[in-house]
Amino acid sequence: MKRVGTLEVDEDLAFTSRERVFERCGWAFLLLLLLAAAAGVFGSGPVSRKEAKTADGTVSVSYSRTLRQQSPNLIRIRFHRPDQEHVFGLSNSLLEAWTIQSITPAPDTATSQSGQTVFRFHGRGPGVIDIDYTPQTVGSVEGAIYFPPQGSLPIKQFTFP
Amino acid sequence: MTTILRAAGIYFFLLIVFRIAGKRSVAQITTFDFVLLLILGEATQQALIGNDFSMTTAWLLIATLVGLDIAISFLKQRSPRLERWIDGAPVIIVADGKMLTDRMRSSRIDKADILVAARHLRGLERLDQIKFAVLECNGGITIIPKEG
Repeated sequence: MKRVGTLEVDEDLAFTSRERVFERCGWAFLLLLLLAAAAGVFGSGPVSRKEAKTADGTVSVSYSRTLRQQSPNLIRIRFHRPDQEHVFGLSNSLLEAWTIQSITPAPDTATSQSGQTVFRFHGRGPGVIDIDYTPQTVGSVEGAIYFPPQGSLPIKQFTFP
Repeated sequence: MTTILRAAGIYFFLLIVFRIAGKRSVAQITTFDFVLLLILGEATQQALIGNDFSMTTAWLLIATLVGLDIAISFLKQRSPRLERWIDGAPVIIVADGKMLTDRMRSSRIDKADILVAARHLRGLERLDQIKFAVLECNGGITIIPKEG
């Protein structure tokens, strides 16, 4: 125990100096964390948002690349062609990672096929379908949204705890 | 297992954030600080329990948080270095009635804080009546008055 005059105190100025540096670094880290959050690194922001189109440009999908576990999210599918049938499939890896809250409009049929579930709608022509879902598993997930017969769009997401 | 990991994650995050925030942030709690603590509690609660309101989850959370606290206290007892990093070290901010301004500035303390502590704890009127003022690990200011 250090003694300063008559006072016995566990003072350690070298440590206190290091502690202040640690504090300042911590403040900088907190600021960076908040800036990253505002930019959408942890979801719901410009960095996270991704818009993808099929090779022929007839369907586009907008989704978040980064998510937070059990936080509500939205995937928006846009069909652009006038005579287009509204049908898409979600790969099982996505369905295992998410809980789908709703699909708007509601699909007329949902059928399970090899490695995917296909949702079919009566509508044709340009249209928008929203999938509301909550991610359940932490970590990265890779899957795809299929648009028969146009092709598919790969989906890569990371879910924060 | 998720419950335990969530509790541990929150425990260590809070430990680091409050360490970064410094001693002064909780040393003299104002009404607003108290409200802020309540809001922090609310925000933390949601992340801890999620949608699971079962009693088992509550037991697991309490056991994890208290268990971690006991474990940390054991580790602190064995390692003074760890104790120092978790609790900090006291700093003398007034010696023989003279303010040590560099230390005060880096600890975010001003003369008014010291005089408040001097009045409140010792009934002192002036700075020159103080022999030592020490900013303790818990963020409080200890005042030792001059003799006579």
